Amino acid sequence: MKDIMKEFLEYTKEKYGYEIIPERTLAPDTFISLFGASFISQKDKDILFCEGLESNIVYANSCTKIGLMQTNVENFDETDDISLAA
Amino acid sequence: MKYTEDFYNLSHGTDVESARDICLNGFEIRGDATSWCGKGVYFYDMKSKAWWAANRKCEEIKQQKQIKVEPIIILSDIINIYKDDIFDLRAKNDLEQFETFVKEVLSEGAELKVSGITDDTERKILLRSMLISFYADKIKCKLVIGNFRQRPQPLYEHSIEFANSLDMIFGIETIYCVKDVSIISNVRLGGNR
Repeated sequence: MKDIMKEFLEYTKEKYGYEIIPERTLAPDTFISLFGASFISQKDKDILFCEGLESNIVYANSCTKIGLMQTNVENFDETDDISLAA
Repeated sequence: MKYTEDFYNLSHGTDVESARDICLNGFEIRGDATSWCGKGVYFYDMKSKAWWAANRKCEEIKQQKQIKVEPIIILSDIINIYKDDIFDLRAKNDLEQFETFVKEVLSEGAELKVSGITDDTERKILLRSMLISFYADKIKCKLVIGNFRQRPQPLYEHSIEFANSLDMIFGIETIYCVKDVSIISNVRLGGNR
């Protein structure tokens, strides 16, 4: 048995008083079976900006002179884990 | 500079006796696996929700101990908490990291039977809250945040239809589970209903 599983079994017993018994089965518990969805396998970029991910946005100001005017353009980079809706 | 968050006027519903103790001695981590995040101190984003929780607690005390107790709410703030100390169930990045962790725990291909629990729905409810709690402990996070749907009631059916027509969400509440009481500040009684 993996250490992390042993830790979890000890944790549930000590903190909550529940004894957990892992049983080999053809239908094991998975993240999806317990929580209903997977986030790691979700690849789409059409995700609205999520609260809490502000630190993953990097802003940079770019300045350029056009004719006699100076124009400021605000650029942003996104990290892999979030996207902005179009 | 590390990113920090502030949360003001978080509401906690309880009875008057417990409120006196909390104002004097501070909050204590309590609870069990029937709560979505296991042990912690739970706060709502709205006073009305905390009043509901306070009334429910007082009703339970009345039934168990046959004494009448008055409900009350306590307001608190959480200021300058690092983003890294928060497990945010609304943030995809946090959920991905949580999923990676849970997959490691479940990687041996077993069904986790809970001793004394035969109902599979109840088993999963317990496992979910204990996995969230275990993960929060492992990453030493101090605060877990989630958005929850209010329980569906016939009274709200039309409101839900109205909200759907506008692409709105009806009946969402944000709940905060504090895992480290040292982050709670400015504890005070919440005033009238």
